[in-house]
Amino acid sequence: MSFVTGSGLTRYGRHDGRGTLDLMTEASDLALADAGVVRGDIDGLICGYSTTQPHLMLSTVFAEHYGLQPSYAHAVQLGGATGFALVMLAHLLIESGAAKRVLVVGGENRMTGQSRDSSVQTLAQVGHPVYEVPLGPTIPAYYGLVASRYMHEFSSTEADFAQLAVLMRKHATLHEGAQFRTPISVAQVLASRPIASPLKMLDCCPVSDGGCAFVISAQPQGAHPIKISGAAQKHNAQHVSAATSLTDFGAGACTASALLAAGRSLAQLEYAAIYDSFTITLTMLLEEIGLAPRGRAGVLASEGHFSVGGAMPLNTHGGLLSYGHCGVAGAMAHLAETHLQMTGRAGMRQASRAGLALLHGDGGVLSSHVSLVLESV
Amino acid sequence: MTDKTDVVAIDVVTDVVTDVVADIVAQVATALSLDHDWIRGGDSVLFQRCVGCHHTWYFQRDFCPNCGVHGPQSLISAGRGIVHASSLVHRAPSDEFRALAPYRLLLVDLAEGFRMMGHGDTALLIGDAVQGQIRTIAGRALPYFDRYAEPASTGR
Repeated sequence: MSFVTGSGLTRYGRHDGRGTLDLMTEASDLALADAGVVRGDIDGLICGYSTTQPHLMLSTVFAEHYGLQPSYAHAVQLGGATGFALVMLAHLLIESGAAKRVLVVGGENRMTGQSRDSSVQTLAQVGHPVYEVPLGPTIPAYYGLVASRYMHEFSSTEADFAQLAVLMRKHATLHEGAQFRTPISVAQVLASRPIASPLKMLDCCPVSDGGCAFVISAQPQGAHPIKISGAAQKHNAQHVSAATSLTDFGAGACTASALLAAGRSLAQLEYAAIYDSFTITLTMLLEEIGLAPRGRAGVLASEGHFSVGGAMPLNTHGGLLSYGHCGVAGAMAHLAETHLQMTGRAGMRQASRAGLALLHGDGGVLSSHVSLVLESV
Repeated sequence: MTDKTDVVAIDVVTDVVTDVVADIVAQVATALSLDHDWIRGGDSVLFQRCVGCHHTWYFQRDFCPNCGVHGPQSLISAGRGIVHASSLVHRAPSDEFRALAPYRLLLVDLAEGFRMMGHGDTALLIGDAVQGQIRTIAGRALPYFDRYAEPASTGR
């Protein structure tokens, strides 16, 4: 058993002149303060990676910079799935007794620390270096391929995808830390610049600067503990060319394992935080997990099912699509928001019930999956 | 006197010789065909098939990812397949591809039983029958697919 006892989230967007370590520091300060602990209380440090500060040993680079001497340090790389994988690792470390209070942190100046092309090219490297990358794909193109197949099999439309972008933007209007806060319509999503069909600009998350951190503890200490009651991973093919199915990537099996570990069922969930790098990502994951019937995610969104006042509040901070995406910390913002919701601190965005939450992240092209189940204490 | 043990022994020797010959043939065939692969500047698409479990795949290795048996066959694809997924890329990753945009990327299911990424005619749709060839695209030799129509029957 382990507990999220503190979370810290910066605003996402431009942080001119701030580097990876600066953003990790800002988020860590917020998380330690939220947990009511100091540096000396931390005995484990887990972080991800940064494309603007590649290093063989980012965890110990940050430990030195921040002033920690942990007895366990580890940097993990699982693409977009990294954030939740860090939390799962902290959970396992605490359950094993290897650490008692772990700082989990991600941060990157992905927006201002490199050129647009550099960012697009770096991210496209999750493709196969011999069989895919030489063809000139981008991350949106990989997901565009998945989206084309999805539309073919489930007779859905681009307007269905657009509903999810509209919902994420609507949620972001209520969070002052979000990168994009101006409401958008389905028509605006449909009319936005084509990127990789069927995906358009507003189907895609932005590139952001930002940071996010958590304190994960063995005891429900401090003023705001929530319990991590289940965690699971599932990894299928890394490359989209090698995926056995473009409509079943393993998210359902992954969340089922996490729910089993927690002794809970989908029907009991009160809040969902699901990775949304593109509208197709969110659509696929919601439907594979079973939070929406096949072909129905967009319709449910338009009906208010996933709104703050709906049956299953979803990414109430605005998700990657509107809060922003700064790499490892991108999905961690989903957990920061979940922590606020579960401890009744989400202000104008507060859902009436958020006692049991499911979080799911993916990395690569729906290649790597991590699910977490959280419960209020 | 010839007893059952000798017969079995001779069979075993014959099997071993046959296996060795088959291995040499497969290795020669593999060495020849690898040069044809587009990833080495050749004019064909190669795929691999396991001699043990017959699993078929695209990304080259010297063992079967399904059963682990070494020494798979490397074979030249006829290039015929069906479009499984398709995206028209408008936002290119680099200057070479920017000059080409928009361009269509496909996942194609080849008749031999493997899936691959390729460029394709911008008018292609999912489900279309296609024929692949190697073309120079953005300065590189890359797989490209065009619509394929069965040749019309020529007589009765």
